[in-house]
Amino acid sequence: MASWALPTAALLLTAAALWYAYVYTPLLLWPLVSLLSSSVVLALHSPMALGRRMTFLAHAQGHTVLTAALAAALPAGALAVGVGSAYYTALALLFVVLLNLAVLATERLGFGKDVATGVVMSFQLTATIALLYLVRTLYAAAVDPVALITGEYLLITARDVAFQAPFLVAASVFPLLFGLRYLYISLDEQFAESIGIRAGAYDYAFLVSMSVAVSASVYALGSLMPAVLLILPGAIANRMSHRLTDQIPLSVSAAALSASAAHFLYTFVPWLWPSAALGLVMFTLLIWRNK
Amino acid sequence: MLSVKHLTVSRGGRAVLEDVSFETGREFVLVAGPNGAGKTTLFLAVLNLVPYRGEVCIDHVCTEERTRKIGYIPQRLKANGRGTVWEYVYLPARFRGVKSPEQAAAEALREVGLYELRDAPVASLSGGQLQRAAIARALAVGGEVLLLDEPLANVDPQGRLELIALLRELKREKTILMTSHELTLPLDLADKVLILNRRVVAYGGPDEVLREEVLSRVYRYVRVAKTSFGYLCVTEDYAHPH
Repeated sequence: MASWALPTAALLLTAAALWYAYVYTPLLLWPLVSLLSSSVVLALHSPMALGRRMTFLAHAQGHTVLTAALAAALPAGALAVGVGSAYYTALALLFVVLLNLAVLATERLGFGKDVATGVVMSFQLTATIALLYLVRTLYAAAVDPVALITGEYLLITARDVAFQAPFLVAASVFPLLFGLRYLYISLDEQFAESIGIRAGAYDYAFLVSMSVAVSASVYALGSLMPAVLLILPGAIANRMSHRLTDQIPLSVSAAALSASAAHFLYTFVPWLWPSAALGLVMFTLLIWRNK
Repeated sequence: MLSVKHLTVSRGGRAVLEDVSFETGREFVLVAGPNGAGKTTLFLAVLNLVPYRGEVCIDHVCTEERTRKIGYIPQRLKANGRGTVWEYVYLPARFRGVKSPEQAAAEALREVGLYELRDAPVASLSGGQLQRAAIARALAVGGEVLLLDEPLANVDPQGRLELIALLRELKREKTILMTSHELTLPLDLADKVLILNRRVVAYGGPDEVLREEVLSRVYRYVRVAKTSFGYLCVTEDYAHPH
């Protein structure tokens, strides 16, 4: 398949899904917009996570965001604000950023990135259990821990999308402006440093950008799917083209196409939750393209 | 012209390079020395990638701005990521703000004989081709001074011959510093040889430096012979204790 075929298919299917939702299922229009925008912004980061061999860290975002979401649920529950609020998203974002930066701090103890990620995740899992118990005990009526895992797709409104939008826009800045440079670092870090591209600074910026994308997506996608969207779109792009410049456009196209297809699947097969359908479509795309 | 004066680099309180001074014009300088002699550190200091004391200038520019005149070919070239040969060479030229990066990349690829392979994945290149691609990249970013770190390592004999032929061409118009573990080299390649062992042990023409009494200052075992095609040097790579 030529490199333009996937973006074209993604554009057409996205337009069709938005039109169908607008005309026939208006209640699902804003959930679709939220799903599409979250998927696309996460997919912007995916080739970079793969290129910099941060797949373990990207996958760990599932744990990270769940811990952060539960940690944010405590003050949110105390103040009786919903998990779709900007306040909640900002709190979750703060915890995700702190937990991701904890990985870099742990690396300074002399561990490799994968070991540092594993060490931080181990502490996070312990914290998650404690937080789950606390949230269930204190705010059983206000916060549904299962919704933090699966996402609140059906409850997403225009207001939620408006809350989400600035975070997603902010998370798009780094990949759009510096994504290609960051991908080049993955090709040859030493040379990139020699022409003034500082890999360490880019790593920090990427982690913060990824954290913002994950935090902004948790309401729509739940805590587990952002990790999938940080891996699979980039893997699909990897299999479709060996060009560095194709990686981000193909990754975004794969995510948009998958989100649109997942929305259609959910419309016609309501027991298939959209974020789960999204994973299934991406898995199909991944194995369909055989080099 | 590259000028290094009283260069000292320390790591963890230990001097890796100490009071290194030398100057070179448009010529080919072979930088040699045993393991840990500071060859790569010298390049990193010239590139302003490690903190140092002393002065490093290129054409009398001694600030970080001098690095814009350097093309670096790192020791361990990686090519296991995505990217075509064209992207490998063109993108750095674009990132560095080179005027007409397309033209610079195309000319550089033609110069190293890889233009026909520009659409090939960089991961598919052989060791010698990858070194040539890295040289093209260093040329495309506007490198007047080329720093080649062990380019002959991990390259097959045919690739070495091609690489040496290319370097012989390039030294007419560039200042080239090349580190190497091996001191065996063709007669007409190196104009000067710099022997490092944290300090400058010797610096001068090959006839002056590639001699057993000079090299035995840093190598435990040395045999040197000058033949009709080049210098044959056998060294045992253990430095004398400081």
